[in-house]
Amino acid sequence: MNTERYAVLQGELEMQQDEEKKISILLKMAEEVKNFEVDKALALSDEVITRSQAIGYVAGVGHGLCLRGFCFRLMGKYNEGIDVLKEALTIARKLNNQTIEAVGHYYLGSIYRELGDLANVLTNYDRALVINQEMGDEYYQSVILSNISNLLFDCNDYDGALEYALKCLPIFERVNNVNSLLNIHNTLGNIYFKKEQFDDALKSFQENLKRSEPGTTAYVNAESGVGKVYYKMQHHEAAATHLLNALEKANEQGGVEVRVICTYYLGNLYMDRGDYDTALQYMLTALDVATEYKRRQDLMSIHEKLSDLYEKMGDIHTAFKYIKSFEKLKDEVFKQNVFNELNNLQARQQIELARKEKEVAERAAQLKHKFMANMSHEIRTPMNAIVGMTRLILAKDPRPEHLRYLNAIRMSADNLLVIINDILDFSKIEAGKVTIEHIDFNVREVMQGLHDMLYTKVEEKGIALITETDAAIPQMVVGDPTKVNQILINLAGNAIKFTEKGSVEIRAVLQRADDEQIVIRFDVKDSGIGIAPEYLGTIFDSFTQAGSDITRKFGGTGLGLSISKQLATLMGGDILIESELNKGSTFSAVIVFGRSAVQLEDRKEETLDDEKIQKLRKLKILLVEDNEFNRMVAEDTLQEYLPGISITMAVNGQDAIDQLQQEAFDVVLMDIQMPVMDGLTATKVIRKELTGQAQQVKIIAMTANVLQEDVKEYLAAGMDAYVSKPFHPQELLKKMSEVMTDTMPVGGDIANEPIVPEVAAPPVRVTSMDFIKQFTGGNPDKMKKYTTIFLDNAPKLLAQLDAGLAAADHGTIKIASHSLKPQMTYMGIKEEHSNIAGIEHAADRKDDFAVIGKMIGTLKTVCEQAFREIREQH
Amino acid sequence: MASKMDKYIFLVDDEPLQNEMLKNYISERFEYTIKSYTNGEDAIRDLSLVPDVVVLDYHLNSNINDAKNGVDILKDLKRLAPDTHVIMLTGQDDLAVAVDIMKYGAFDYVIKSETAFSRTENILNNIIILRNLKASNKAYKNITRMLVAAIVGICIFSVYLVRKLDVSLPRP
Repeated sequence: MNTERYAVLQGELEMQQDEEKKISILLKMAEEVKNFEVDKALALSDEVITRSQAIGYVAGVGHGLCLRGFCFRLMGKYNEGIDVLKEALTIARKLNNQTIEAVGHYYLGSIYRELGDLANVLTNYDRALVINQEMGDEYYQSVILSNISNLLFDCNDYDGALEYALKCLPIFERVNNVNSLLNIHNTLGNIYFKKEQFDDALKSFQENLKRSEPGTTAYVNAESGVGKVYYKMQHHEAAATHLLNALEKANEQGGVEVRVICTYYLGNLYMDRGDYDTALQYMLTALDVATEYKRRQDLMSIHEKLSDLYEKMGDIHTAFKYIKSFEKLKDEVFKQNVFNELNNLQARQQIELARKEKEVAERAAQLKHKFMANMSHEIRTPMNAIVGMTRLILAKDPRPEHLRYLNAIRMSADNLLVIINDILDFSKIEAGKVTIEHIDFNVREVMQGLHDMLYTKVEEKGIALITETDAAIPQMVVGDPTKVNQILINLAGNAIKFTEKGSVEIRAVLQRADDEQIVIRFDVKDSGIGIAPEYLGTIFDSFTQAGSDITRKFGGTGLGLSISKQLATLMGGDILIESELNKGSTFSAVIVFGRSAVQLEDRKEETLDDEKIQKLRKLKILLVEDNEFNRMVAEDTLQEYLPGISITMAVNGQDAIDQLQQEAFDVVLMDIQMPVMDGLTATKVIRKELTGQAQQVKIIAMTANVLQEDVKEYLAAGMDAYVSKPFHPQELLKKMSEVMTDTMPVGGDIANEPIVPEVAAPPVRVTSMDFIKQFTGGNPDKMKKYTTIFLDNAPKLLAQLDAGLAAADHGTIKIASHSLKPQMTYMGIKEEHSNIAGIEHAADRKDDFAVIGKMIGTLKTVCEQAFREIREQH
Repeated sequence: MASKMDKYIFLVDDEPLQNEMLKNYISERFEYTIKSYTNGEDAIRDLSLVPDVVVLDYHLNSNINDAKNGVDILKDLKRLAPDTHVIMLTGQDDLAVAVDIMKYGAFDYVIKSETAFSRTENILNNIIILRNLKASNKAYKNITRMLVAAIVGICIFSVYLVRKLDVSLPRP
């Protein structure tokens, strides 16, 4: 009974020369007949295997084994089938042949299904399904789906089964594969049968009758189906005809399932008719077949019916025996069913979960990568612009107040860049790839920097910022200042962010110190919104904030705390929280530092007293520094702390020596590294080659190198003291006052008396007619007119100054000096000589009259010289 | 030649050098008649001359207790001659002073220094431009008024003509 296609294939086989191709044709032939003529298919599979082995065509062997396994299933030789298919799978994996693997799993699943081992069924089907999905084979996916449908059918999940079956149907119709269509209709028929939708069931089975040729397994199957449906529909005649027909064919073909079904329903039929003997005959046949093939579900039903039958026949004893068997089986089957269902559910869930997890993980990894790449680009580009532009403006000689803001911008931007880099390296932290530096640094500097940086922020919000460093904390420690700064900025930034009113306090407290370790606790305390207890545990997790509404209200990534905590851990410490909702929080970063070899004397925190400051203000300073920016900072700082101090600039060591030879200075602030001549060389030259006051000038080194060896070298070269750079004003003032001697300032004021700023020794000329000349267009008459007015008027004002001094009246002095000031300017008398503005300010501040008197004295000397010069011109 | 057409600038400063220099500077550059005063009271007395501009020292007479200071004079000036522009001279580059001065109606302020003169010149130029603008504005206003009157007249006249025609034309 060969199909057309079979004949065609046979023809091809004879034409084909290539053995491998012949084998694949043989397989196709087997494929054609396997559902109808199992023996033939089995023979073909044997042939395929033998021929493949002969030429070492391993894939052929695999295909052959699959086919053989399939045949064994149809023949009920399940154990042999399983062995064969497992062999096929081994080959498939060795060859990495997905087709064979999928088919193998599929057939294996089918066998397990026959055996009722649902867990194995599902595992194999799923594996096959995944492989087919990977291969994009829609048809086979459907085949497997249809089998899953069968599986669900076995689990009594008829709705689920129906759903899957109906999904497959259109695909099979499109592909128009007869076998699959037969299978799916058979499945549908059975599902409808179980759902007691007998009309639909009948249609499905009848469809198969039409599609298949009489005598084939499928036809027999369909006929048995039709038969049982008719039985249920009470069409006993039709049922009997179909069932008998099917049974006859099934007996010939050895179709187990059909035989059981036919005999069982025939038994039922005869029982209903009252023909118990015939019924018993059929039932016992069914029992034999079912027992032989271990079809437990069927056995259960058969036992039940047999019990009924014997009861009706009056054989209560046997009936009881069967009912007991039924009960036992029912129990077993029920247990099996429950177990299966559980297994089924579990397996499915696990498979689903694993798949989803994998998907999510892959997508998350991809997103993360993308995000990081984008962020690094998107943030770094504008950040570089900000940093670059700020540097450019800084180089363009900004005004002092602008300088402050620009420096704040630069610092913030630099810090931000550092943080961005760390965020980008966030994964590195977890991978243990972040390195903690071990360098000497000053904790107070970090705290000061923090204060400066946060100050504007805090001022904007109108809350107080308090920073305090425990006096017991040593000057220098060994650690990573950048990371400490990062942690503190983060904690303090949070504190400020979440505090609307009140204060933010940052305290560095020495927790423990021994010969090697210094443990410092940085407390960041705020009076903000606080954290609810339920969030305290998760607050350090990445991307977590205390409630999602926080993110909306306050923004932020939620990464900061997590990074900070990890950084703290890396530095041998931890971050602890104490918080109460609506009362505020205290974040404590405990960090372990090493003891520093760099020894700075312990700074006495007391600031210099007023008397000393007043003395310092009179000093003449020579600032030697090659970096323009540093010069500006130093000058501004000194001017701020010591208003009116005289500062002269030198840009390198040589320049400094030249200036020292021309003018007398009290103190030289000397940078070490400079072009042309460095500070150390300059110091040696000053001490060895210069003479008089210049040789004796006090030299304070300003340096970033504060290692002890360096310091020794500086002092050996003749320097008097040193300050670390960037210097702290207080430290510098202290050093300056330390080196200050009683003979200072140059000019020899007596230290105990109020000291008048020593104006530069009056130069040859104090006046300059440049302005007046330009103003008058060089007209000598006009020039003379103005200078005459000045000569007439200025002495009057000087007299007023004297009068004010005599009357101890600050107001008069102020007004007179105010009036005199522009006139002096017009005559080209410089402020540094006259100090007239200084007098006005001093009067305004209501300074001591002794001081003002001295200043006025100087002014008068300068003015007298000016009068002389002007008169000489006349 | 002091005629009615003369425009005056008053300089009020008790410092002779400043006063003299400013006077010369302005006289070389503007066609104003310049009068110098060492106190505010004298300047107020001469307000009948209707000066265009008064340059006034902020620290005027601070050393004389009963004399009026610069701000007092400024207030009087603005009260008596609101159209007169006042430029204040001050010694301090102090924003508070400047704000104070502007609040009382000063046109601008100048800090006494080498640049004070050129700055005064600029301010005077600005005042002149403003004056001219105001004048031309006034002229335009007058022209507009005349035009409106003319148009109204024409309208009335045409109505009158139409009426007359209406009456004179024979009715069909």
